[in-house]
Amino acid sequence: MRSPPLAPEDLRLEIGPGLAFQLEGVPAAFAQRVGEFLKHFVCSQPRCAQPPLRITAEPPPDGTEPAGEPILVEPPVVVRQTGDLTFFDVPGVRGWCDPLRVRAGIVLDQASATEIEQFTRMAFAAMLFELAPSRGWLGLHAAAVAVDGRGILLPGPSGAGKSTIFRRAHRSGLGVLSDDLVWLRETGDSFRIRALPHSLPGRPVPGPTDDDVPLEAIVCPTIVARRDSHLAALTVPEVLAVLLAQSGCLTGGPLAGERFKAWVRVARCAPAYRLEAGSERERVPSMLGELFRRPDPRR
Amino acid sequence: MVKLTDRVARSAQTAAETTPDDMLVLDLRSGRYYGLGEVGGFIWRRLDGERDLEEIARATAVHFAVEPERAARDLVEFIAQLIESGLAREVSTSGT
Repeated sequence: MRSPPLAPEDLRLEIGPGLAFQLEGVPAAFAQRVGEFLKHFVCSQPRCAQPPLRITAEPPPDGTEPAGEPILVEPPVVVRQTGDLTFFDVPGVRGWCDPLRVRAGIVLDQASATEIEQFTRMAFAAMLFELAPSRGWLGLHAAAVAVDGRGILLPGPSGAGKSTIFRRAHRSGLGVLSDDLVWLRETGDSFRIRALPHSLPGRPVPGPTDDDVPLEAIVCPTIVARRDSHLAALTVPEVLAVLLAQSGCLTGGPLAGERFKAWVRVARCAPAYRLEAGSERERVPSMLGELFRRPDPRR
Repeated sequence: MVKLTDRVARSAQTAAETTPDDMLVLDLRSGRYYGLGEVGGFIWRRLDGERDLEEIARATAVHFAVEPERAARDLVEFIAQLIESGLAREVSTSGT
């Protein structure tokens, strides 16, 4: 059932300790889309003690305009970096983000419903990913499940099998956190996983059963054209390549170096594997369930 | 061609992080990253533009217990690759 639209003043996103976002005065059509996207958090998370990171309807500071070659083109969204600012553009919609000063804005110029639809999820998620590291959080395009309270991260591009494995894990009784987006929070030498479910309308997923668990393994899934499924250890550089590709960590920018270092710390904090998921995928949940009985391949 | 009397510094347009047996370096301009390995990481940490390559070659030979001539030869080759990739640059003796 589709939930009623949320008023803009309701759009406060609480992800966890130290991290909340607030949309202020953005056009109702965009706010409605984001509200649907974030509804799970708006309804379920505890209040964050720190002030939220603000995303406003203001134009870019000093009238800065996007310039130069795009650093990313994922039609219809084009991403450019100009100075310290990152711009996300589709026809009629512009988002800008200044991660160094922790501010962002969304400007709509007669955008159609379709354009807002096309823009919302990627650009808004990218803004969250750009701003959140200032509060010690890293966003990742990944599914996540838990075995006895121990988190397994499943990063990978669309089509790699994240949602398939997530659904099978859920049916098999494993803890499920997210099928598409997660947040990682560094605590000492380790990281904790917080879910951001893919809660777009019409695509319901099970709610999280564990909403903040330690990251104890990284499994990079890929669908293969054979029957059996197979796990193989990955080196730190190998898993780092997957994490960087799925991190929304855009090339360049004033904070790219710090983010790179943070992702290296993620890559080395837990054992990592490649999961080749064959057509007999019913074995995959038990492979994940038995993962922690394996010797750590890093030793 | 770099010489053992040259001094070489890491590019400011890089970020590096160690792992237990590797040194991973990001080129901030291209977004490419490189794994330098244990020996490469040992050398990378010493590319401060202050010491010459001969001093680094000696330290490398002692630390990894290899022939000094071989350490020097491999170092010059490695440094040439770093410079070609834009990860490091020669520092002129006049300090400019």
